Amino acid sequence: MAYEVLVVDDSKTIRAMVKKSIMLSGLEVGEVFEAANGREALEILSQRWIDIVFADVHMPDMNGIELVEAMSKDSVLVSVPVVIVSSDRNQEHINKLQELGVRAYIKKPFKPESFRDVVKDCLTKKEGC
Amino acid sequence: MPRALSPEIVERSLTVTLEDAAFVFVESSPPHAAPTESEAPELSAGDLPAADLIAADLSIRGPQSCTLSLVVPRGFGVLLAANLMGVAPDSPDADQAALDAVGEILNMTSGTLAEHWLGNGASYELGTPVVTAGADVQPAALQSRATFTVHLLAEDAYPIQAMASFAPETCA
Repeated sequence: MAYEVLVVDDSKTIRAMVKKSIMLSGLEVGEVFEAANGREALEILSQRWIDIVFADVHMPDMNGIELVEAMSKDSVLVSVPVVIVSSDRNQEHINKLQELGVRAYIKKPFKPESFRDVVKDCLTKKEGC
Repeated sequence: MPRALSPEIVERSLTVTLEDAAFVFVESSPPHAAPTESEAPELSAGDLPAADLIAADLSIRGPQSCTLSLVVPRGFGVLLAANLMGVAPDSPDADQAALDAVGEILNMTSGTLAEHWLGNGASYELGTPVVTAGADVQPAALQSRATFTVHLLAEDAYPIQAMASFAPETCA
């Protein structure tokens, strides 16, 4: 099964870096969609099925926490796993995102192998990874 | 538990970020020294005209606060973009993303640094990187207000300066 992936980050460079890491993870990928903020992400999520979302925390217009909050209130989107990929290591932010149902938190910078392990765990487990 | 922000913490955070994220290896250049106005080394001297520099600033606000600045040659910004994105250094994408790449490297460095400096459980806010290039980059002005400057050399070719400026009200 090929997974449909959504990468959400206001930096084009980081979107490319995450996309590259997903490709190197061994995950069977269908299409990789990109959004520059939470609002754009919700628009894509409303139009097509996405199997997993990788999102940053700090973004203009709608940040990662607001995106996860919006997804958690939607009866369909609540089941889509979200992995946060961020430089922000503030434990308060991490705890809040975990309470909202975020599956995993990858701290930047990350090594490709740690990214691969998290992705595999997230897609094989139903709950947190 | 917060500890003093030292040149060693800045150097370690930047080195780890460059190695893990961009596969770039760096070494210390001259020994760490707190620059004075008269002694501030000139990054833009010699074969590094200011027009070829990229600078990024980012603030960390918490129990202690500071602003981190990173100044690199434009060619190094292009290399960072290429390595982060997984494209060739001579690709137009790498050239276009050079400024963004320097800002993102500073962003990642600041996250790592804040954790080591302020401690695991500390509450703090990372700012957004502000990136400038060309004539807008004023290394001497940045150095003159920096509390300390870390000098590194990347890939045996690119001089890098990382500067930390403390907010006086929180770090007196």
